[in-house]
Amino acid sequence: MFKVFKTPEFKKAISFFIEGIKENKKSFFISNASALLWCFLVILQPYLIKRIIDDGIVANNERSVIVFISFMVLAGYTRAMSIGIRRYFSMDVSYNVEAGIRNRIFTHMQKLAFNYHDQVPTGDLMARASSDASQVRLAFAIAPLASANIFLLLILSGTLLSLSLPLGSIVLLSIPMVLWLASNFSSKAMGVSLKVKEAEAKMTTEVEEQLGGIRVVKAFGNEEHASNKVENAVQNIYDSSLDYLKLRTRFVPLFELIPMVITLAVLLLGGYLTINEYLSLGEFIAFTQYVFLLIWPLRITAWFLSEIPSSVAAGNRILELLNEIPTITDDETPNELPVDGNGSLKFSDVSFKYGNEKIFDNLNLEIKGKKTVAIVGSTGSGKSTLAYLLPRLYEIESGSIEIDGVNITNLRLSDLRSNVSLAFEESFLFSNTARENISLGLEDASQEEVEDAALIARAHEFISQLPESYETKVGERGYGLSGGQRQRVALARAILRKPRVLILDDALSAVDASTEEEIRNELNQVMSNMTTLIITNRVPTIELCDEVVFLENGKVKAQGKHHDLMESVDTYKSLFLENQTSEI
Amino acid sequence: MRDNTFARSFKLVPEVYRPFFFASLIALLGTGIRMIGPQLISRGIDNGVMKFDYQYLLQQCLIYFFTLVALYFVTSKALLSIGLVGESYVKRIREKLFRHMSSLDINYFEKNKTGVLVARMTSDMQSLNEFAREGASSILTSLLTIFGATIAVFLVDVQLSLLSFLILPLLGIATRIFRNHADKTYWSVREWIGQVLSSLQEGISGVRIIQAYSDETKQLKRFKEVNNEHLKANMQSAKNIAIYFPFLEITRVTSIAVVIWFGAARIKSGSLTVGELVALLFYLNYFFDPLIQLSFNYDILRSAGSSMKKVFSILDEEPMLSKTGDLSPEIDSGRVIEFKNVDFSYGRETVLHDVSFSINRGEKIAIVGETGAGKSTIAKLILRFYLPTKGDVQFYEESSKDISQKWARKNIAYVPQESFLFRGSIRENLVYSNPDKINLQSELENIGLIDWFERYENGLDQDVGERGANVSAGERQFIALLRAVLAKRQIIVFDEATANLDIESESSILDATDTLLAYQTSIVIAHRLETILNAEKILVMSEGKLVGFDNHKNLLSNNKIYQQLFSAWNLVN
Ligand SMILES: Nc1ncnc2c1ncn2[C@@H]1O[C@H](COP(=O)(O)OP(=O)(O)O)[C@@H](O)[C@H]1O
Ligand SMILES: Nc1ncnc2c1ncn2[C@@H]1O[C@H](COP(=O)(O)OP(=O)(O)O)[C@@H](O)[C@H]1O
Ligand SMILES: [Mg+2]
Ligand SMILES: [Mg+2]
Repeated sequence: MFKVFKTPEFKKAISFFIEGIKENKKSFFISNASALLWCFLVILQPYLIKRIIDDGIVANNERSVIVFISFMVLAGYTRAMSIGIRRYFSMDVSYNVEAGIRNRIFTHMQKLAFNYHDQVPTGDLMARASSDASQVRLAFAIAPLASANIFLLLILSGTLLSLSLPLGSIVLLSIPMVLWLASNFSSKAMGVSLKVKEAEAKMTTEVEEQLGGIRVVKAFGNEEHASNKVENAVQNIYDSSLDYLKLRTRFVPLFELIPMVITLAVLLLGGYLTINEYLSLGEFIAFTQYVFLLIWPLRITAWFLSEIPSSVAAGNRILELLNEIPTITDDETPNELPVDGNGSLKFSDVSFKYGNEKIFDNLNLEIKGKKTVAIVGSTGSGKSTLAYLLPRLYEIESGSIEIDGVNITNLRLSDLRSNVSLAFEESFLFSNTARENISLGLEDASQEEVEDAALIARAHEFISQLPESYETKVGERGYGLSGGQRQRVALARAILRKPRVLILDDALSAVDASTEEEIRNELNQVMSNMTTLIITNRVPTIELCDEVVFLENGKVKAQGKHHDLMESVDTYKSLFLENQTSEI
Repeated sequence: MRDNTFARSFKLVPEVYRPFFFASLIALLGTGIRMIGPQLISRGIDNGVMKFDYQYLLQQCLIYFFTLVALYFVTSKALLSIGLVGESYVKRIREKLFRHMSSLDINYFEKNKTGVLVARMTSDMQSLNEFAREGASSILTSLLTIFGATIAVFLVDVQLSLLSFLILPLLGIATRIFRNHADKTYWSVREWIGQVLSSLQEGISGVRIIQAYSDETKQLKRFKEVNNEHLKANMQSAKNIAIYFPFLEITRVTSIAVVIWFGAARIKSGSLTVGELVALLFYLNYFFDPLIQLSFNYDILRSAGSSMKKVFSILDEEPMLSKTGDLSPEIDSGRVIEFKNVDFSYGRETVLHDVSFSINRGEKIAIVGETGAGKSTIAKLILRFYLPTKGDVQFYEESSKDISQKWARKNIAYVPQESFLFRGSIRENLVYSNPDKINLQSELENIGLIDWFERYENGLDQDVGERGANVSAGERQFIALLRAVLAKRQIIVFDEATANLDIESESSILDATDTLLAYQTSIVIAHRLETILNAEKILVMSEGKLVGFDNHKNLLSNNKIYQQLFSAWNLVN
């Protein structure tokens, strides 16, 4: 009958919620306690009024009037306080839970490797951290009030049972009725509200994407198209929300009806019993008074139960993300890189796939320490992929990669990544200051070191001309800078950490030839201390390298000096064919 | 100001007036039916049970039962229709908001982060929805109940009623104070949720860099700070409520105490009966219960109001560029683009100084210069993303100020420096400019690029992933380039759009451009000699100034800066 409550989704969500409570034990306790207090004071109120009227006014006893009024006022003020306290602390719990979920999502998401992020859109993750987390919060906000009311319900039922067994049992029937309704509702509502949440995530994704690509949207004058896409997503939310609404409006009034039906039943049976003198009139009246008291707690309980499915659905979406296991993690007994290593690299039989697409098939490659090596290949030949494999941003399928004789899977990730520095093909800047962008990942880089790196990358000059120099914020994705400036900041970032292995993935493609030359000259000194892999298709740069690694069809086709390869390898030569014909 | 937001919010979506009205009527009907119940019960007890008339009791119960059935259908209908109003309202606001956002000028997006704008479309809408769902209907019924209860109270006894309401002004003042505080805190809640989402958005879209540089701890610290500010703002709002709500309760108790106290005296003197006092107390509850409900909704209303203010702050933003100009110049004259003494600044320092040049129809122009020299800025001015700060940019001898945005978009194609692809297949991205018209297969065969896509498992239907992350950067550029070429515009601007491509792919796409449109005017910003040598004329930029505009040969012989560049290219050769 109550199968929903036993489904794994439900159980998982509940234990997740309990964790949230545990983290906020104190506030949760206070809010529950004050909710309880409030409940009792609410019941006390009619009793006090009754005493004032019966013992005071009717009996014409001025003292009683004064005493009971004072009691009532005191109880009333205490009740008022309890409302405030409950409100505050239940919000404290719920907001803390929400913020906690956000922090956890952020932390966890940072641990998930590239292959996860290749699949899941940004907007989807954002939706989980924003609207799903808020939905979960809601359950926590109502919980103290609801649990106090449930408690109250139990106590009242006990009182009623002691007043009259048959009538009391009728009232008690309401509890399974509410539960049955709730489980019925939940089993239907969970699926539907999951759809609503998914539709919201889709819209978030769509909006995030269209706004992120607004420059392209505008360049093509495709605002209409973008709006239509978003409107489609909005329509989907609307449709699924309506489904949910229809379901909700079928059930929620039923919850409200239960107390009324119970009153009806009590009236019928109680009236019968009283008329046939199984029950005294006074008892009957008292009983009905208590039944009225039930209405409010039953309503709150029903409200709480009707909000549960959405929160459970949202909780599950969050758990789905949090339970995703990071595929690339530290080795349990990590090795250290040899202190005197010079950054020699060795790829042995490395195979790698993106999904089904094979990129490397038993690739073998050896690079001596402190060499400067150009990685050359046509577009899509796997140059960038090779660069990703070294800092273990993707996991290889088979084979091994060694740095100074240590397999990279045996290294601590933070060690590995601080020793292998990769300047990405597309320079991504954060909306922080220029300085923070350069010192990314380094807690303790001094201003001097930052400036040194910027000098080498030829970024110092323009940064110092910015309004606040190194403290200028560069705008979202660095859009406040020109493309080449962005690349130079990213280059400075890669150099600053003084890695053992430096990889420049076409990191100077937006830099003009003469600046590139300057940078190259500066870099020469730095590069002599480390192994450098340069991915590029600019001949002058290639010619400066100690050797060239030519990638083709997932293998190293050739390795050697540029001039030698030009002569001996046809496919290599054809890469630069245009270059030859246009020489003047 | 408060009323302004409220009225504006209402006026924004006239479609909901009627449904809202009907939903309110139904809700009222429900409230009416609900009132019948207690009446029937008390009659059943008084005339049935008390007088040992089971028949009568049964009769009353039967009627009660029918009202319950009716009540179920009416409440269900009321909830449904008011819910519908809420959903349609939020839907319309979302649509309007996004439509408006997407029409805004580029510089708006430079000042406002994507994450913040996303928050406006999601989190703020949620707070609106909350109000629409819970608030709107109960406010009406609450108000009516209060109205009814007030009349009832006065009917029982005027003097006591006045006494009991004496405390109300105090409540009014408290509400006012609460409102001011609530507005301030909710505004900052909305502000911070925007920051949270934008920090999150940045953390996700930059996750690859963060991991490669092990910057996780620092990022998390930054996120936590913002998240904590949001939490603090939320807790401030909790504090407001925690002070305001008890105040209501205190008013209630106090006024009941006052009524009883004076009532007792009146009873003693015989001018009031006990029954009247009980009735009075009863109705006072009818007065205060909805009032408390109302204050609860008031809180949600303030929160929704702050969200609406945020929405209006976007809707009030005027798109400059799409509003100014409505000319569509003729496409026959010789001068396609002309810069006349153009100065430009993004708001900081001037980045273009007195730039003048003109480009004729069908010319292939290259722009070279150091990074930060202003090449992309020229491209963006040609694209009419911005208008010049000083001087004039002309298309076919019409000022870009007077040209309609639409014309510019239909005639100029642009490939930005950072290639952005949309989620979906390669095919969808290629036909982006005109999904219904472009016959992709035949176009690609025509320009001989169909083979290029055989590298993918699924050919043209290969999925490119978010921002094109699932293809290589060079391929991404290739697709972005081809997308612009297939748009077949009169003028095409490539902003370093071939930088990550190998030379073979680059030349194949440039050839394709030539095949596809014979009289196309193209402007290529590039750093590679091979690319530049393809151009007929070269525009040399240096520190925001135009220092040369001629063909390769002449420049090489008489332009210092160009000579420097060239020597860098030929350094080793
Ligand atoms: N994240 C990804 N998911 C699936 N396929 C990818 C992904 N990244 C790259 N590829 C594919 O792998 C191949 C090699 O890409 P890459 O290493 O980036 O090439 P390049 O040599 O141009 O740097 C390309 O065909 C590309 O489409
Ligand atoms: N959106 C922007 N906001 C403020 N400054 C900008 C913006 N874009 C570019 N700049 C500045 O304008 C100058 C010229 O940039 P740009 O035209 O992009 O140079 P490039 O010649 O490298 O393409 C640079 O100094 C850059 O920092
Ligand atoms: Mg690449
Ligand atoms: Mg540029």
